Amino acid sequence: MKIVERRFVRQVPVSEAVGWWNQWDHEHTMVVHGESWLEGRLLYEDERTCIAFVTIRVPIFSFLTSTAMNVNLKYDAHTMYTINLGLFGIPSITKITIEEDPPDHITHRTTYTFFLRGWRRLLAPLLPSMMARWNERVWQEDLPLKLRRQKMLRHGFRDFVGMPEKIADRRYDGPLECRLPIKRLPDSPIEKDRLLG
Amino acid sequence: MALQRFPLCRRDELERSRVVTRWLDDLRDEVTAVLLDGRIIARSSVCPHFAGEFAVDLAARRFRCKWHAWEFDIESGRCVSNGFKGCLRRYETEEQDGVIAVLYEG
Repeated sequence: MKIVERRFVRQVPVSEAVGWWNQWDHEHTMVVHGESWLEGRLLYEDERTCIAFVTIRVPIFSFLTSTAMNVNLKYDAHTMYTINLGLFGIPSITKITIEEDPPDHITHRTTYTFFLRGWRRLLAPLLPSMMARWNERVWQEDLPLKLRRQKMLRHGFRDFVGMPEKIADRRYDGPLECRLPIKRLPDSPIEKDRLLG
Repeated sequence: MALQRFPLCRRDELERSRVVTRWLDDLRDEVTAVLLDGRIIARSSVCPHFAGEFAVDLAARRFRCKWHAWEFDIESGRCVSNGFKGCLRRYETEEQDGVIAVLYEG
């Protein structure tokens, strides 16, 4: 078996809570990443697991689409894994770590590992550039969300409420948290499609 | 507490573009002012869902969140795309010497 690995390391001035929110907010994917993320069907989710069918447009070969089953695991406070079986039937594992130091500044590491058997070994030279393109696109599309959410949370924004009424309350210096699963309305499109549970 | 005045934009700028969005440091909120039927409607434009950014559809008279596609009626501030019961905060405005300002007491 041939193993192909590609790693991306980024720095961004947001809290770890915002970093994880972006990873686990499944609802934004088809709106913000709609060019490449065509469908998402949530099968199951709890405080550390999410199982979903996703259909993406294949990077570089954009005339191709690929449906995959993703299993996301929040392994510990700073690590998650996505186990994926989809693109050309290739199993892969994506490891994401987010570490906050100093406060409101994170190092975000993504490592893609592909396990290639048989004819799929022929794809080995293509995968690094495909993943570079995918990662860069998704990162750039997500970046303004993270920066804006961080700013608003530091101005006292509360999910499903908005900005505080009093100007004096529009400042928050305390710890930020990301509780999983991310809260959604009962009529969220992604909830309507839930297949299990 | 007395009303405070927070300058937003010039009248001619709003007439030209019909939509002006600004983060106001002293108000500590993002405000979008829309010129609708000759009236100025100014609202907080931080989506109450997860703090997303709005696109403005003047023809449909709606704000649409770029993050999760939640839609709000500009006039009433109410969410029209799902069962969310909250409402976008409306800010009163006044015009002085061609400058439109937000008035707020908070």
